[in-house]
Amino acid sequence: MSAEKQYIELYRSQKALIDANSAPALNAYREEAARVLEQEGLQKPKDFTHVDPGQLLSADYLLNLARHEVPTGREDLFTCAVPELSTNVHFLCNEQYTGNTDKIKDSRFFAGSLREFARLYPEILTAYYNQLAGKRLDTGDKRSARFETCSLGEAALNTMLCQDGFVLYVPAGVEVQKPLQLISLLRAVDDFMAVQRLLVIIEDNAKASLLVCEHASMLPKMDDQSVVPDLLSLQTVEVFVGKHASLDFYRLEEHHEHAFRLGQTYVRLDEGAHADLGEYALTAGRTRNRMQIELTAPDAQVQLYGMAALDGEQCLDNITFIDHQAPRCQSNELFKYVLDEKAKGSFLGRILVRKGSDKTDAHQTDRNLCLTPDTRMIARPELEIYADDVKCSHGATVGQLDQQALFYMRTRGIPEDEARMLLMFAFMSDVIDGIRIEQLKDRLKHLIEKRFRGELKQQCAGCQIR
Amino acid sequence: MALLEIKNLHASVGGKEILRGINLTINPGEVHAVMGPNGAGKSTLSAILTGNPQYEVTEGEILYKGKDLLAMKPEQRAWEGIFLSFQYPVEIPGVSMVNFMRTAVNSQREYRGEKALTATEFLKLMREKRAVVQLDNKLANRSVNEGFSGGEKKRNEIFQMAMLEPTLSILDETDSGLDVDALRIVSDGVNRLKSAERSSIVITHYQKLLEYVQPQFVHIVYKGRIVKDGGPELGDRIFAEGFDWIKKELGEE
Repeated sequence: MSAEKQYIELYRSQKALIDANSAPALNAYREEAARVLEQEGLQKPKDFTHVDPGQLLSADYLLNLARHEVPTGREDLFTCAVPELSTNVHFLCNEQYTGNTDKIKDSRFFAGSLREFARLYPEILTAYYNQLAGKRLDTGDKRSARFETCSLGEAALNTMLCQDGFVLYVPAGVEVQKPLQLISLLRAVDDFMAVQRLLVIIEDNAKASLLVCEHASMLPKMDDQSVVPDLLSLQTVEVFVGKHASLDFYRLEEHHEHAFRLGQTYVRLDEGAHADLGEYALTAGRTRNRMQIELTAPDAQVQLYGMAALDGEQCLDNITFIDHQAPRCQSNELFKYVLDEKAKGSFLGRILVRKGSDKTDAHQTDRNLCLTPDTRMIARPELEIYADDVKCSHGATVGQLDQQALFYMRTRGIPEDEARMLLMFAFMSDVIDGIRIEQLKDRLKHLIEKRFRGELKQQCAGCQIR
Repeated sequence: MALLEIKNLHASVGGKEILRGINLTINPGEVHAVMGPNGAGKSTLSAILTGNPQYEVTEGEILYKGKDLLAMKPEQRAWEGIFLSFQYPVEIPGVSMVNFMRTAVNSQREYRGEKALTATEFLKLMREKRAVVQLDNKLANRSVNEGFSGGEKKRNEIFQMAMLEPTLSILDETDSGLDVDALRIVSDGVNRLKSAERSSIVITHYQKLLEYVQPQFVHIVYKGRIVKDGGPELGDRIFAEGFDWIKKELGEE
């Protein structure tokens, strides 16, 4: 039986349990999602990527449908590698929201459990939830895209099984000054799938910063202490940025070789909205990120950063789609990978400038370093332009460390390893320098340096996951 | 003991033989000029001395302070006091001059069993040495050589030399592309480092630098060999007459 059929069957047989441990406003979407999943299936892997979602999802995973409490995720159990960033830290263990460190509750906005939000504010939830993930984006162009960015089936699987997650809701006009931090931990003692859902709503003229730190525990399997279980995070993120609103949204991934991620992020920007988005993978197992960003009204701006430092047999695909639907919008994409040993990466970046989106200013840069002959990198920029008066550019490179620079440094007495580290660090500098949360920028520089020194293998520094 | 002894050095790059039996001895305190027409092998010699991995030594040996130089990695040669002022200094975007220099100086100190400089000590040293070559503070805060003019790059080379205080410095056409003032600044920087222990090899096409630096020995390299040795008068004759008379002496033309 195919993976999607198995999941649909699981849903049908466990519907009562799933519903009981969630909220009515979330349960309302399940039947439709099951129908879409059945119809769409789980997308077969296309060329030019390394991670096969169908294969990842066809393994047997446990799910925590009964919402048994997992004894972790609180600040007393572990601290994140990006400490003191915020006094406002929220915790997600697998899919469950497990609390926060807020001393003083700021009642101007909501940050917390998706299930709770769905129970308290079903009408707000319904206005946003699944509005992006549940529909196929009509790109309007005659030429069919060579790859579909987001998978409707994969999103439907998430919606069908989603019970909890995290919500940041900032109402119109509210400016949240302090950055919020969400620490998300995958933790299980058997092969496990976490169905995670994030909903970020920044209404008109509102402002917020959110950092998501994703980790995976390395506890051994319960029945075989010599093996670490496979942990899969099936994550759907929907982000809405209202008129003249501003959002910084960074995701930091520190997974290990048994942690897999299938992530789909949908972002919709309204008139004059500004979003800074960053995907930083310090270590990954097997990860596929898909991002769909819509600039729906004039003067919206998006800055998208991506960074991956991969070694061993780590594997990471980024598939991005930036959709310019209105005049005078700006988008700037910058992705950088450093691949070592046998790591594999891919970057598929599509930019669509629709008819009428004049004065669009869109740029895409993807630069990659392959340090050994065994690494593989695929870079595939695609620009489709249907408007006349636009600025649009792309550049993609795959190369090695500059041998001349390396030699120059060594003649000054800088040891080869150190020289390599400095060059790799320099290579990554522009993708970090643009981060708008100062403490995160400093911390990330420190972490990347540690990473390149080999001091961050599979276990993140400062994160004492117990 | 000689500081540097090059014996019957043969070297090639990409399978093409460039050096065909170089012999050269340099004693402490000496300044040697190396001259020769383009393509004679002068820069190859400097690349071999600093351990550039693109060049292959096919025969011969080099002793530096009595040790086998060819067995040392480029960084170890630097720690042992060899410095090359590059003909074409390399731009390294994203690596700041400060970070670059601090790593270089402290690696050298570590090798010599000295304590790493504190940030304050290091910045003080940077200030002192920067003044020697009149290198703008702005440049010191930028990425290595990035956006530097030709003259600034060369001054930056001499600044690094002043920071590292090498025992054997090799100046590979450091004077090319410099205006008169810059040339004087660079020469001053070189002369300040002169001592009874330190030696230099100066590769040049121009008279001006030799007037400032005043080498005791001049060697003419042609087709991968040293074909003539002499004193400063040999340099003077080259500047007056070019290399043709040497080619004639060798029975060419």
